[in-house]
Amino acid sequence: MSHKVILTYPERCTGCRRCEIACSVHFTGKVQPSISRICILNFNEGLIDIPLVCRQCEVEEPPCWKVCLKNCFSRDKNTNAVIINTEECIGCGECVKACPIGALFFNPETHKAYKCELCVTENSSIPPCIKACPSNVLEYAETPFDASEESTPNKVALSLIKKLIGGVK
Amino acid sequence: MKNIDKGFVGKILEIDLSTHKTNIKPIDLEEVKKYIGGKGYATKLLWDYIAAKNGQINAFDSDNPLIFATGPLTGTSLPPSARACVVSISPLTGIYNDSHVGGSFGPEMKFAGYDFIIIKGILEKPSYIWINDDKIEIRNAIDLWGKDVYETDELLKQKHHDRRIQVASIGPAGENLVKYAGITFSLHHHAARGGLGAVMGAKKLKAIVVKGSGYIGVGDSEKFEKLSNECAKSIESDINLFSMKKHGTARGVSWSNNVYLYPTRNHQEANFEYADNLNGEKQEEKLWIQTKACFGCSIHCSHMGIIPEGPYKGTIFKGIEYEITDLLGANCGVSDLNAVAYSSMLCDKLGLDALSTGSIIAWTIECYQKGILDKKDVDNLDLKFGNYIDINKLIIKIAYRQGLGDLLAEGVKRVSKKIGKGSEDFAMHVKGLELPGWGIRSAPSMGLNYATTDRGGCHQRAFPISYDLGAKTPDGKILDRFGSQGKAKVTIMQQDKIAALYSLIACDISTGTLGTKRLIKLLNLATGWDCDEKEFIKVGERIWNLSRVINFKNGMTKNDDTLPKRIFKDKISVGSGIKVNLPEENFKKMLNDYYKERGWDSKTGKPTAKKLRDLDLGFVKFEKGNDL
Repeated sequence: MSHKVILTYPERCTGCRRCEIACSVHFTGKVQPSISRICILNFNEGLIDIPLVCRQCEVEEPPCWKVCLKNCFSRDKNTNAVIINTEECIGCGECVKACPIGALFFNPETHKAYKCELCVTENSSIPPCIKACPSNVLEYAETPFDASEESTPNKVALSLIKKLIGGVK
Repeated sequence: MKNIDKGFVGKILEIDLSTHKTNIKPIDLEEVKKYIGGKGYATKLLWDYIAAKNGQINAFDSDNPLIFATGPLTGTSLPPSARACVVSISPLTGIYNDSHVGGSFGPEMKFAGYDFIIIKGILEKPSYIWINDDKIEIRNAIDLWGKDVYETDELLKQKHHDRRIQVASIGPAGENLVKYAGITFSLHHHAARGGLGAVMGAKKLKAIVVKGSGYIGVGDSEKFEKLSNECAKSIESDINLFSMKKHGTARGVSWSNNVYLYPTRNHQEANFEYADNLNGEKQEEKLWIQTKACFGCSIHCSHMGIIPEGPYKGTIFKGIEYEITDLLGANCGVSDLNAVAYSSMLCDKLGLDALSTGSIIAWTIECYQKGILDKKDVDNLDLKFGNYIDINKLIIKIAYRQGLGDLLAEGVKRVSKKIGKGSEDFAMHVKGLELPGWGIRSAPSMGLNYATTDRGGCHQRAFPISYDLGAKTPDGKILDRFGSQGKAKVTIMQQDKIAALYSLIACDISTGTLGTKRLIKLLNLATGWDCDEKEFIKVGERIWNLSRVINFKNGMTKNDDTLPKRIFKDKISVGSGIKVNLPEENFKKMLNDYYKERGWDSKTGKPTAKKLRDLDLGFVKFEKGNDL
């Protein structure tokens, strides 16, 4: 089994954050990285940048979904993305805490949780963050993997630094 | 206060470290318009803060403001929009200083709601400032004091449980008031030139941490986004940027060396026999493993690497920029790429300006070789060109002001004056700012630029070298490379234009691709202004004249518009057995042309009252006994 997500290749990431800009412009028409559904975290003195975005876990009840007090979560009919019904969301923040990789965020202004819901429409088959990336770090593709304790940004950074240092002759 | 959606977000934040009081005021767009923003408006703010003291202030005075500035294009969707700058009075030169950076700090300032942050006063104990939108706190930094900039950045990220904060911090060099200590932004972006890190150190301010939840809006967002997308496409396709993306600024090393512009062994020559070891191709092939970019930029001219072998094996470092390949490489006679990478990393992490550091070390080596300094004077180091082991020991001594380092921390102008014995003749600085990595005997217009810039010897205020090398001037002339004719005009043209561009704030790497016309269009779409190219250049001239006034008020004289004696006296080879210097009379001719062209008094070098009025700078006070 596998499902389509925004796959990331952190070893190529330059940390330019054009994905964050594109995401916020897509939602509000403005440059506002704090509301971006994808975010770039840097590690190891800036050597490594890790893009963090929802893995749209395929398991029947993903961790965020499971803890929701109001049953706000469902799946998008077209993309199968895990989506939040923001009208129902009471802003308890439980889902934000539950995500093993930290890919759900909380907007203190609207008091609602938000996450990547795969902006694929009839007019655009590729999400705007992917279009904006100048370094081919993001790909809209299938993966068999859900989010897990093993795929937190810290752990991804750690395994990448090992690989990079190992690669030094 | 609401976001004004004009490229500017609308607020100026003032923080007084002595009283812990903060003050937020709206920006006055009519007033800002005269200076665009960024460097320009920060220059006006600097003037306003020191005007009460007749424009004169000591860099370490409590009242010397440290101004963090962004421009109307900073943080917008335009690809290179990361730039911010810091403006203050420099402890190294005693005059005006503006130092520019990329990274993500400038945009984050605006997300937090502030176009400008002005910091004055002095803290009682080491602290840092935490700015999170409207919440502004001064927090204890005792545990951070003494840490290098990488440790500081990481500790702050852990302390705030947030890897998305942006940090501007100083290292040990700034804490120890090394006169050329820089401020490090977002880990690898240094406002290094002119010692503003020591101004922060004097204020006992270890860091400024910013996180903003807001946005940056522009006036006409539809047209702005369209043009910004067009710019992004130009950047992706411009063939001139391909080598910049691949090899960074160090792409210029071999070219510069081949045309005798590459200062070598303290400017004794302008061609380094091992230059090809240090160029961007070599760095890419041997050292780099990652490509890095500033906020929103698809050029990604920056690189990161790990030293693969030798005594410094395993060290993570940021790709060596062109200037540093020269100042810590060729100019110190070091040909080992791994060693230069390590020296560069040391300066970065200790918070030293690598250019000034390299320059003063080269001067020290020459003094030692000439017997001006003896073994005891140099702490028994084995100082010779190329001995990177002892050069790296000296870098650490400077940052911590140990032994000889305490002396060298004062900058080459002060030190050479103290040591004397002819060492001033080869102290390579203008107005106290050590020269960057472009030789000037083979490019006299660059020499004129160094001699006349607002902050001392600097290559970023104009880059007229191409006119020395035969490019047609805007009025269709081809200039004699080593001559003085026509050099003033092209230098002034670039100085004014760049002062305006640095107020947007544009990035040097991209302006060639985007072009001034498009940038002005973006400025107008963002702000709703109707600035044309003529007005744009005039703003640049206004900024240039105002900083000039600040410099005169702070003790600069016309005699400081000069170059190191070595440039006038000592010849360098420029190939085919030809040797050249820049004869002093040629330089003086260029300088006279320059004053005339600028409308400045040729006897005093000061802007005339008429010039200041023409530029709408009538508020600059004229007093008896001080004809400014």
